[in-house]
Amino acid sequence: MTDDQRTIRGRKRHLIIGAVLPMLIALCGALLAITWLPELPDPVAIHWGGKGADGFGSAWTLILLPIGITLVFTIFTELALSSARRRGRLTANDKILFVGRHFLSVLLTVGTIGSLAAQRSLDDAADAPDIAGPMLAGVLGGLLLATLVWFVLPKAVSPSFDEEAEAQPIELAPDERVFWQRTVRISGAVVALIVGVLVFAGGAGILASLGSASGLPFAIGISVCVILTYTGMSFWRVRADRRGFLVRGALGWPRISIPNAEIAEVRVIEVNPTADFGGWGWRMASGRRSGIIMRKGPAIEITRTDGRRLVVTVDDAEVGAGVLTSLTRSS
Amino acid sequence: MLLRIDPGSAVPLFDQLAGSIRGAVLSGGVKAGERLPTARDLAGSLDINVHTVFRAYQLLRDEGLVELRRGRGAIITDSAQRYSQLSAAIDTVVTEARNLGIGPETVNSLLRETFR
Repeated sequence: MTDDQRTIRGRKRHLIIGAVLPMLIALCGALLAITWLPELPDPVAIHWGGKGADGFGSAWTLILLPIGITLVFTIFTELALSSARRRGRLTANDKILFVGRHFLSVLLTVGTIGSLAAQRSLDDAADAPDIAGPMLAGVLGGLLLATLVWFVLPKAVSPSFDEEAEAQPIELAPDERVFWQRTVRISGAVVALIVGVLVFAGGAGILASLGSASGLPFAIGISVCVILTYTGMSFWRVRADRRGFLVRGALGWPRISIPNAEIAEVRVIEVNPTADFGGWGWRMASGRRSGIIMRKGPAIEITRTDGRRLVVTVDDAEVGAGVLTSLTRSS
Repeated sequence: MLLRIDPGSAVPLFDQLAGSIRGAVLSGGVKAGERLPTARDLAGSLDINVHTVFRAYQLLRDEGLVELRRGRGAIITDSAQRYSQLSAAIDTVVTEARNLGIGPETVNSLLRETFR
């Protein structure tokens, strides 16, 4: 009973520190800036280039920016962190997402509100001073709060990769040849996350392009990169045959191929994407592991002869691992 | 999708391969709309002649299980669903035959007889 209450109280504290605090910081900054509205020039400087202020717009852009971005970031990291909260343990990956909210919130609030503060009682926003000062203060303040929260949070647990037994080989006749292939698609929740990131990137791009002429091509470039990366990583083919193990992205790249002679051990393990690998996609993790992580659940883990490991979440992992075991033992 | 062929068996390789793909469709290892590996790719994987793979794909096309498109390879058609609906009935037949000690050849010819 008391244990139950403790976890519930822990969850509430987790929510207050992790979600409410960053939003509160952004909100306080915005309220403070709203009281300055009568003293601010209209329009204010909202973008700075090498020669000082070069983009102008409504003060509301700068006032609402920290709240908006902090809110979007909090919502999207919540997907990953709510499951960590239920487990009651945070891995280092979870903690980075967690304190990332504080860093982002302080950086944006101090940076934007600081640049507004410098423009108070100016007649013309073109005279706005450089914003390197507020931005630097924002970075330092953000790092400080993020570090502080890091140590307030419980110590990170290391991702638990249980040492499962090696996969059982499938039975093959002496001359029998075998081919195994599966396609892996990302899950619906992850698609939602990606759409969120795209909208976020698009929004940030539009904001950036408001300020200066060079902003638009830059924003389009970034968006194209993001879209290409995500299509390339949204769909994978996994294959095992006499030549070895092969994982290929939808566009033919990334491509990871391991000849059977380089495979030392094959296992089926359970993967929790955010806790074990810090998210979805092509990922790195502890113990010289890299992973193609598309969903929570069973995955094939291949240990190479040089000790590196590759983890691929795939349906039918049991059969795939069995095929690989048979192939590596017979070769 | 797990495909296996045994050159030591009396059944021709293309027949074994087609049967293996049918089996994968039945078990849900490959679904409607999915693309099979290119013939060259699969021939390389199984260390068999590319024409053997073509022959297996053509057999499955004639059954309506795959669609062959130039440049796009072999794609599993919607009739895959009908195949998987049949799979439960086939399981029953096989289990019953095993219980009664009736071998696969006899069951095959009985099925063929009933179809007539």
